[in-house]
Amino acid sequence: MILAKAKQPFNVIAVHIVLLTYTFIALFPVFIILVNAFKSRKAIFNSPLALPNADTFSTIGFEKVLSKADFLLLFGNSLLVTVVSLFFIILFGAMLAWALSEYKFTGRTLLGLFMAIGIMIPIRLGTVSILEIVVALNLVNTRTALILVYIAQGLPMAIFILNEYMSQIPKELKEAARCDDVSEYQIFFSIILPLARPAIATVAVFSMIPIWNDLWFPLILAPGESTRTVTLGIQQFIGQFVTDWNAVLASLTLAVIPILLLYVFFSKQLIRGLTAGAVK
Amino acid sequence: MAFLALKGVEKFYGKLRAIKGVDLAIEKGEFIVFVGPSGCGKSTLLRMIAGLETINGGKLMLDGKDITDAPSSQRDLAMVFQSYALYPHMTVEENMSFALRLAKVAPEVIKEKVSKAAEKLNLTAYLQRTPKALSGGQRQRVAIGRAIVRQPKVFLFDEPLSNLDAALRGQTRVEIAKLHRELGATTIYVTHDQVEAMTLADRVVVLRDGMIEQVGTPLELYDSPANRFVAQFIGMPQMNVLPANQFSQTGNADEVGIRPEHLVLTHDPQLGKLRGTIELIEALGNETLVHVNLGNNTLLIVRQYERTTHQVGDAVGIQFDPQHLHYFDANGKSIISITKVAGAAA
Repeated sequence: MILAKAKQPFNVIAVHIVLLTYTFIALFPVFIILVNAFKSRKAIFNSPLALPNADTFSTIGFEKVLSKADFLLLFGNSLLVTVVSLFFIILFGAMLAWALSEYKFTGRTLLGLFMAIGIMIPIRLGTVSILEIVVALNLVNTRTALILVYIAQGLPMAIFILNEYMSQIPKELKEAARCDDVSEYQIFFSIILPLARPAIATVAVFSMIPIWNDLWFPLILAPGESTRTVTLGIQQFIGQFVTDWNAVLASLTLAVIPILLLYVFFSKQLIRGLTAGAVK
Repeated sequence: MAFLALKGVEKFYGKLRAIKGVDLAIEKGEFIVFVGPSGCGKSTLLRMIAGLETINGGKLMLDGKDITDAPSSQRDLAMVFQSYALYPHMTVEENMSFALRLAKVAPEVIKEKVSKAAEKLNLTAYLQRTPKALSGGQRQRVAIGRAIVRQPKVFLFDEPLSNLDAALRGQTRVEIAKLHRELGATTIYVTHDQVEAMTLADRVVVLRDGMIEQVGTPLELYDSPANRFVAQFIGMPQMNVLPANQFSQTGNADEVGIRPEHLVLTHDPQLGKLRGTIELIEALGNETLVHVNLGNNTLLIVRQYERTTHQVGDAVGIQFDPQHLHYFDANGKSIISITKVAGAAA
């Protein structure tokens, strides 16, 4: 607010036009999905942009999706894979970031570089080898396979962000703790982790969305009935000749809800961290 | 045997020899102050005692135990940092009780210790606040509180008052002195401020370039400094040091020093042992500092405790009692015997 007042009104308007345009572009597909999920099939095709009214309103999509019965399973799979992967990304990422930023050991730079390469090279390039490993480990069609791959996928970025953040935590805090007879594990868990909360929230948000939305690895590593994720499950409504748009749009709408909840949860932490740093 | 003993302690940063074989014996209950110009290694030495820097040579003994290579957690020391280093996500109470809670001390005992320390440090009203909501002085008191609840064998202070403003610094200094008198704990205190050193210390350790220049009580250092560096480092404004040829009867001394308060101005230049013209007068109210140019750009500062009647540009003489002269040889070392000879001659 203070910033806005200090600037010229024209600038404020220009900034808001840009922001609103971007918001519109970003929200439009979500809006279309949401609106059409509550319309009959005919109405979707006749006027895709129209809001549902008394004539066109229909929950047939949701009924179909929920009656398919395995929808809860799909949700459960997605949620399980995402949450477990996130947990380990954050735990291992924070530990490695802490080690890289705090301890001097041979090969530290090399290890840091190796992790940085992971940010630059997409993990999908290694799909064939990953599949081979998963087959060799007898993990095909398991959620474990997905979780392992997602942890590997999320770690480099997590380490990068957390390492940067942790190296800014004043070293006196760790030294004070060491003088206070606090063990290294306790320093990590009761001082470093709580202080790194804003960075952890950032990592969580950045890592969570690609995992939840991923279609690639579920399709390759875990396409079986019992291990399908939401994104993969939705594909059953998309046929070669006929696509059940009601069901597709309804399931997409439902799929947004958990990720939205997780986002709200983490972003609270995010904002808390940001304001805490601002008023030092 | 000394309570805390440093024996030939060394520190290397690569090829750089930062601490050059320091020997020091500290008795139980003593308040020791490390003082010296920036970069002299006083903080490094303290951090080596704390175990935050490795010791590359020599030995460190505490209470008869060799702790040269022990991690800081096993040394039974507590340190107070210049930047306070309070845990920002914990309240004052949690900060002070953190170490005890981890050590699985009984909650009632923790509570009692914390409330006792808080009372002593005037923090009782702030126990539930986070450090963010405290002033600098209060934060520093919390840091001290965190140290005293653990009842360590040795307290280490690393320039604890440097981040405080002048008024608060004076006040906190007095509090630390009081606290030490009450607790009687062995304390090592690092500062670059000689007033803190003089007022707090039982013994002062003057460091320069990673070596001890002199160890002694504050007044010992003031009255009989071991060398020119200590003589000029202790005392404000610093001791005047002149080439020996300005004086008579200096034996083999190379330079002669005299403190500003031991000089007396005379209106008649002929009455003085030294002569010059006044270049600057600093009237501070309780005292007046008169800068006198002796010619060839040798400046001398004279301290007067009464208001001066002199004017800038006056030619004046300077009187002194030869008893108060300090003699230094070519290496800057004090020559004690000359003092007596010269004093007797006058």
